[in-house]
Amino acid sequence: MLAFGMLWAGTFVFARQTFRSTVDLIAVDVQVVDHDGRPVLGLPTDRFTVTIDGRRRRVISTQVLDYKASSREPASAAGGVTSASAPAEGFTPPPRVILLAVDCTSFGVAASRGMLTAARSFVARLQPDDEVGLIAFPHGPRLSPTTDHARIMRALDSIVGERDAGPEGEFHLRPSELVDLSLWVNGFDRQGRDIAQRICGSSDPDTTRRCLDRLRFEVSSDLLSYEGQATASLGTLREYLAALSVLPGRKTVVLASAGLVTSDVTGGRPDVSDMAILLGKTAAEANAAIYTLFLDQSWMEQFSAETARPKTTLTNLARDSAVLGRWLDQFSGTAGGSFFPVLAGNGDPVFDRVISEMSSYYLLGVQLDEADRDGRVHQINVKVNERSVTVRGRTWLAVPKRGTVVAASSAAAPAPAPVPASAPVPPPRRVAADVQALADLYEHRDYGGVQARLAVTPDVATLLRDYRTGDNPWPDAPRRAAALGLELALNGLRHDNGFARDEAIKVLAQYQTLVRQPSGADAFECSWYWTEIAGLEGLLQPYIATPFVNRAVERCPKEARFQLAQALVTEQQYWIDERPTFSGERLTSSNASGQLAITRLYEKATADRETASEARLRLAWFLYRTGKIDRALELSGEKLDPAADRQLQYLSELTRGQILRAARQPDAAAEMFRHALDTWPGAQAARVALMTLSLDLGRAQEAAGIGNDVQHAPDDQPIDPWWTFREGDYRAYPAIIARLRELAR
Amino acid sequence: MTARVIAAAGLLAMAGATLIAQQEGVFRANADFVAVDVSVRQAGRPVTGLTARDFELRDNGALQDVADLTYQQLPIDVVVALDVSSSVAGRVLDELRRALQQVRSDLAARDRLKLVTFNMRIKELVGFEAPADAMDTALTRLAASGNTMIFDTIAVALTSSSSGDRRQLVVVLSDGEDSGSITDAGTLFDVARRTTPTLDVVLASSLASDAAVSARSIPATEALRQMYSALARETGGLVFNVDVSSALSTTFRRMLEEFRSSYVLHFVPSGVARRGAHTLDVRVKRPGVDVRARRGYVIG
Repeated sequence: MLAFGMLWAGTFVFARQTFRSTVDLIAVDVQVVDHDGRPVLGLPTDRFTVTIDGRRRRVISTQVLDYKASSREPASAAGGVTSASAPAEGFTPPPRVILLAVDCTSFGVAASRGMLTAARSFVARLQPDDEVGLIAFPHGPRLSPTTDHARIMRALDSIVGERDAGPEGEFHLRPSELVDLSLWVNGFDRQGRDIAQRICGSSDPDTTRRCLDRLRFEVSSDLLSYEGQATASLGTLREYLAALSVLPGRKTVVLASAGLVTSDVTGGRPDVSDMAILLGKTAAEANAAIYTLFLDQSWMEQFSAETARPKTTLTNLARDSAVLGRWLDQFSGTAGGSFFPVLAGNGDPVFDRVISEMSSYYLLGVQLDEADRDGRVHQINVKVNERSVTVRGRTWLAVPKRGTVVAASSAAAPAPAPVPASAPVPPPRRVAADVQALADLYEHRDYGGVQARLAVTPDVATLLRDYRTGDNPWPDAPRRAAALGLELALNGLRHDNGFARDEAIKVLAQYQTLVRQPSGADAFECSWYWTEIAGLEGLLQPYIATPFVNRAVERCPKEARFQLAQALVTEQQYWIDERPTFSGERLTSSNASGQLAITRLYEKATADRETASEARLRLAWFLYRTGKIDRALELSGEKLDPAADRQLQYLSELTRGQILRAARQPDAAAEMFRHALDTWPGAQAARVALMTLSLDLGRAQEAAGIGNDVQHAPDDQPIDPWWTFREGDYRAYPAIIARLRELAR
Repeated sequence: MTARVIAAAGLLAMAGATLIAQQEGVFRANADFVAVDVSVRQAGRPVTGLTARDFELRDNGALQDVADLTYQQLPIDVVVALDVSSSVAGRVLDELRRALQQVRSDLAARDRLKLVTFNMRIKELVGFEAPADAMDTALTRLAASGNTMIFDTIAVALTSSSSGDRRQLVVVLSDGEDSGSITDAGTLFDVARRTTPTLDVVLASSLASDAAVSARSIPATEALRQMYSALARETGGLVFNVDVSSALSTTFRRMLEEFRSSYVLHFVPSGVARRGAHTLDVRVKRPGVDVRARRGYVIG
């Protein structure tokens, strides 16, 4: 099993060659290809037009680096070349650097096999001295460029598609539906509203209302999940691409993805356009030529049995395809790369084309203006005065200040004199100061300090966004980053600020993806889920907790607590969704199907001894609250597991007392309340229950006395377990998070 | 408008042959005396100068003789129960502080004020006998946190209120959403019928949405509003929906004024079974007046 901690993208540091600048020229490498992707050679210098920030710069020389020839000798372009300086004696073009990037979360297992076969074939056809790197993100092998192609092949063999069926849900929304419904959720879009009505419309207004509530919840949950997943995947890729920038010369990045759900309409969600653009810029700054293969599975899945609702029209399918491929298109566009949708097959033809296109490129010697040498990033554009050709080249350029020792890719060329390689220089890390300060406290186990700092942080939303989109503060300890991310997110969810809550959910979704162990959940992953779920249960935010709980059940099927959590958060959601009616001095709800579903979930959780007692207790209380007193009485009468803790014993006695009271057994109820007070002396809920029962029995003075005792309980009275009864495992949160912190070390 | 009933019967019956001394008279032992607060208003203003003969009072349908009537004579105990859960915070809490200071300044010398706070924990913060500066200190130190056990708080406040020789008003301020009381709605109505204070509920939903509706708690649903309204009516009280920005202090003043300007009718139930639930019906023999009173009480 590949350890989570070993695979963090931030650990990439590539060897770097440096060259000293001797002339005021810059080498700009471009590919010029025809309609079929074949290199167009023999273009004279005067056919090239180069602008930097829109201002034309003089092209002094052109050279063609032809990699079809085994010797890789540079070939001068036809038509006469004016070189600012001749190639040095013995100069050979640098080896090609090719990176394969595989978006694992986008592929199902079957689809990934086909694509990986094509990728292996691609690697096999490269030249022996080509340096090939590999990243499977967000999980999987990450190899720096190497000529050991066999190693790359073996690593490709280890990659498996990780795509889940998508967020668990009742409505099985198509990508395009999700985008449209995102507008509806925000109250904007008529189309989304029509879809919602189509999904939920019924003759019974109450049924429709409930369905719309559930739909709204599912859409919001899915959106955040997709956005978090995207941030995790793209963030990992971005770190890898940033690390590439230290490698000299032009790199070729071949990205294979089956797409990611991304809004194709203004204001729609999931919105990852900022990440896609940032990724594109990072690639451009790294001087990487991007080839993006979008292996569109949506057409194939039209006939899949997974979806519960029919996908009826070709228009819808085309839209789904656009939604899935949009971020890839944005990324490629920003990077000045090529976007190849693949509707059928494994992408072999595209790999062929990549090999053809990168078989040669031009190296232009471009004269700089003094203003260009400011060390900042500039936009560069290369055009060729030739019909029916496409120019592929970098779109961003950083020109070092004069006298700076720089990488060959952006320094004087074409014939620089090599100097000894300097030590590898990692790219600067992007960790916000606030994040770093928290990370330092966390690293020193000052968890109280973390909470104290968070309490005075004025803009938690920004802090969370910085954490989410910045680099991992501990490149070599990603588990620690996941644990801190979880604590920050749970803190953010406590805020009234909606932006902070949204960012918090994105952090959770992101790390849910990052903690995932491809070979199966380990102790850390399950502990991370347990902490997350306990925290969310305590926040009483089931609409957020539900997808994570479902995921935890799927990832850690042996954890009985997650089954119980599933029942609990479903019940929490029930009491939020079910707007009770008031009649006959009672608040009642009448959603029989919802009640049945919750009953079944609790019954399921009684199957495991670890959770049986608590599941029975909770089910009995739920049945009591929904008026099924006889069944509640029966369940609450069953013996508690002798191993049950004191809290559970108290809760069992308290709830049993209330149920006995409802069953018109007041004396037995009073006895049970007294037992509860013996178990948990001074407990407020047991006292209040005994007080109202005493009043009911005509013992008003006794009741008044209890009431006064309640109000005068000492401040150091232990917390009544009843206060956290609705919050599930939150009652054990300190112990749960302590375990996670230790596992994260 | 405020209406309030004191079902002294419950207290007296429990006390057996105890004499209940009140400032304006002594009630004999061995009898159930029931005190009923009655608000009589016309066009929103209190109607004064009524005598016992102006009232028609029925207990379980049986017409009763009003033995005594008082107006603005009995001292008042006010219990204010403040929701200090996380759902009421920031500016809301500031407004609550101001409103409470307003109540204190509006009380007469014989009147008393008690402050109870609640989130999960129900706590008497300032007792009836505490000095004035204790209230100031307590208000300064109020801090919001936790969940809202409002049903439990109402049950405790109604059950453990002060003795029967004073009129009792319980005012509960909250956004109204209960987050986990052991007491359910049905039990709350039982408590209301078996205890004597008048209950006013101030629902600060707009406060909560304005300042700090946390995900833990949402403003009271319509069903909850109906429930609070019915519960308050049962005790002769009212529900007030307030806006944090301006209305809290005004609302407090109005509640106190209406409560103070109620008549207190005393009667010895006759022609009805002593034990069990009693339904009250109070009318005034004048046209065009609004009458509000407790709807019933329970003995035994």
